[in-house]
Amino acid sequence: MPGDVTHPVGAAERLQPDRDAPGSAAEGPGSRGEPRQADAVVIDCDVHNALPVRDALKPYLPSRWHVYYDQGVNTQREVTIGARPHPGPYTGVYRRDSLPGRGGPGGSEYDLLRSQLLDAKGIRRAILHPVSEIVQIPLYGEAGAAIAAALNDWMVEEWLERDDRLRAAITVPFEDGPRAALEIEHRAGDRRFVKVLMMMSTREPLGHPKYWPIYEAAVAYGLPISAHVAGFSGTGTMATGWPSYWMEHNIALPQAYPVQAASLAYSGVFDRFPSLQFVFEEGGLGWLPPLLWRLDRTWRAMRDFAPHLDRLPSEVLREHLWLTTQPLDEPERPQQLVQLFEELELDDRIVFATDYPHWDADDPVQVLSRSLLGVELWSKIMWRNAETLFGFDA
Amino acid sequence: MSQIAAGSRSIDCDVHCAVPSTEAIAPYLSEEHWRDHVRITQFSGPGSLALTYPSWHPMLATDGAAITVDSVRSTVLRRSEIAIMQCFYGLESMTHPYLGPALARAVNCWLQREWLDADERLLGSIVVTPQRPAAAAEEIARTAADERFVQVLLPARVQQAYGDQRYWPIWEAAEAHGLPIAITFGGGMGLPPTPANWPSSFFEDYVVGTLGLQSHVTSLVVEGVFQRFPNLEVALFESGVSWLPPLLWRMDQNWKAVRTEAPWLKEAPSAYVRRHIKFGTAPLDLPSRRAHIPYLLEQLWSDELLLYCSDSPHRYEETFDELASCLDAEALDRVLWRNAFDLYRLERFVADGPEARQPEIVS
Repeated sequence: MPGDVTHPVGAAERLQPDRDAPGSAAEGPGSRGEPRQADAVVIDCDVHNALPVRDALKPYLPSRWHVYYDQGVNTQREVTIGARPHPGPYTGVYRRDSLPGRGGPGGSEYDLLRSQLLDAKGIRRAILHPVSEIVQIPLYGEAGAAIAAALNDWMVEEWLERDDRLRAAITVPFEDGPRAALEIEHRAGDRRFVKVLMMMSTREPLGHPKYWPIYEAAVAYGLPISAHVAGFSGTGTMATGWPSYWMEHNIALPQAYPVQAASLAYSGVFDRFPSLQFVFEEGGLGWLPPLLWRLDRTWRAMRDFAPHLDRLPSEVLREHLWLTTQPLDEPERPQQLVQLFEELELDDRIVFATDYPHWDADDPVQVLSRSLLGVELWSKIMWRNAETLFGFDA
Repeated sequence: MSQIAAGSRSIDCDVHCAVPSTEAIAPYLSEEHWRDHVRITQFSGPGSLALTYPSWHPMLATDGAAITVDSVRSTVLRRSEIAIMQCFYGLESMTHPYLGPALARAVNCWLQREWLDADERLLGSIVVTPQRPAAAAEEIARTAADERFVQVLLPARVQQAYGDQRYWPIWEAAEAHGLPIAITFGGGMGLPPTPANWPSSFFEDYVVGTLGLQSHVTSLVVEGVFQRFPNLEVALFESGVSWLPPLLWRMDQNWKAVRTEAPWLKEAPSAYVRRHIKFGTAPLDLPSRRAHIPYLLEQLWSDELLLYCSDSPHRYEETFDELASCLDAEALDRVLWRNAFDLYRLERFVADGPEARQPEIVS
């Protein structure tokens, strides 16, 4: 309950460590703080890396795009990702201790990411999403395609080649279906790219046919699509436009998730691409059950308005959606988290994520209690479901 | 027909009536030039009205000609002792700074004369223009003189969430006159109603219609409306309540971490919600498994949040019975009666206590 208003509680202080969590002493895969790499089990499905400085991309970008890249391509659009009118918490979005001593954003120095995350937390696989770069690139056209390709080359050279625990999402100009599909085809041969990165707030809802070339390429190569928190729809971050405060912006981020899930369910895209899989990332879990209940009630009441949907929308979505855990919902009582998992009925499709190096990152040692969830569900979430989703070897 | 509501005392907090035609309210336009204007332009009502309660939609149509005092008497008032009328008129979509408020006044006068005067068991909601807060505050002050108006009615879909300071004159007037604010599903300002732009179908649009209510809950609390107006109460209608627990968790989680941005919040956001906001019971999006309904009730923490609604003429009574079957007698009475009785200070209109008249039971 409420404490002293002048002393904010940081993410790391929010929860007490769980003695049964991985990396803890008892039966865990290593002693807390120093798990041995060989014992690492956790698969972290949402990690953010970044360029240390903007110019660091230039070696990978054809020189004819350098002037364009220098001038800054994003203009007003950038406002929509971080709700820049409001100062964000904790040095923008970063955990303060994740900022490299040499400067640059969190996640921009491999050695620090390795020691703070991979080594310290017993991470067997971590999937990199260069979201802070994507939000600054054009989302369509030749420039978007060139910069996306440069980011993927940079990802290979400076990250994937350095550590075999690392995997990555393919950066694509996702508002440009055909060019995005080409980039997917180009990268899919490298199996270290395990999914395609889109954002959650898109110019049109995700069921729109403009995105179908992306889906077609993704299913051709067996890659899931990530729909990652935030983005650029051109509208406010809330259903009611722009909020006044950063806190509202951040509370409202999950609002895009029901919109996108409803769009995908209604669009029939899963009839066209039966193997298409979406990972809805960084929105937590709690938004989904009430959406499914509402979708099903609406489907029953409005059959004539959805004559092409021959099954309950919840059935369809439960076959095509995956969720990452972070920021894990924090109900008032721990048992309500168990209730939430029961309501979700998605035990095989929830995958763990830290969201390192963001300020509200979830620590695998602390957030999900094995004793609360039971070892079966807990191990599914911490690594087994991700093994299935991404085809990682056990 | 709700079997459970029919067998117990109840107050129905959301009963619809609708302006049947511009001609019906034109005589109540106070100025002759507006009467001329709506006649010459063949004005058929604000744009968002038809989108919120489309006539072509069997589940949502609200036919102003078919809903009459007699029809409410023979349905709603056979089971409930009081019906609180909500005459949504879509005024938030009017850009005209004078015609919008003039129409609000006309609708309120029409409701007063043609409905409230016709049956003492009918109470009213004041329609206003949220996009014109000064005019809205004036209309609240004018209309509040008639105590049969027991709340101010606002739509969910507006230009900016209701915590914003532009709206504070409305809250000030409502609090000063002891009137709760009702925010209801629907409305429209011509702006995309989601953070991922426009939905492609009415089906999707309807499904995501609860997001506006979630924005208002967040905004009213975070922007400090309940600090500034500590006696203000809010009731949300027609968007259920099952989305609330995860929103409360997320609000509290964020507040713990970034509360330096909003130092006026002295308690967790959920505490303000539980103290100041109530939720109508129609329609409800209940868990698909009956065993999970008690989870929802527990997560809501209190049946003091719920207000019984039929949403007549829309039919959602079965979902209410499903919820009610999970409540004990005392909790059920709170939802059907006590919460509304206290919120709207209904001792002014109806007797409390076991001697209260039992409504006629119908099947």
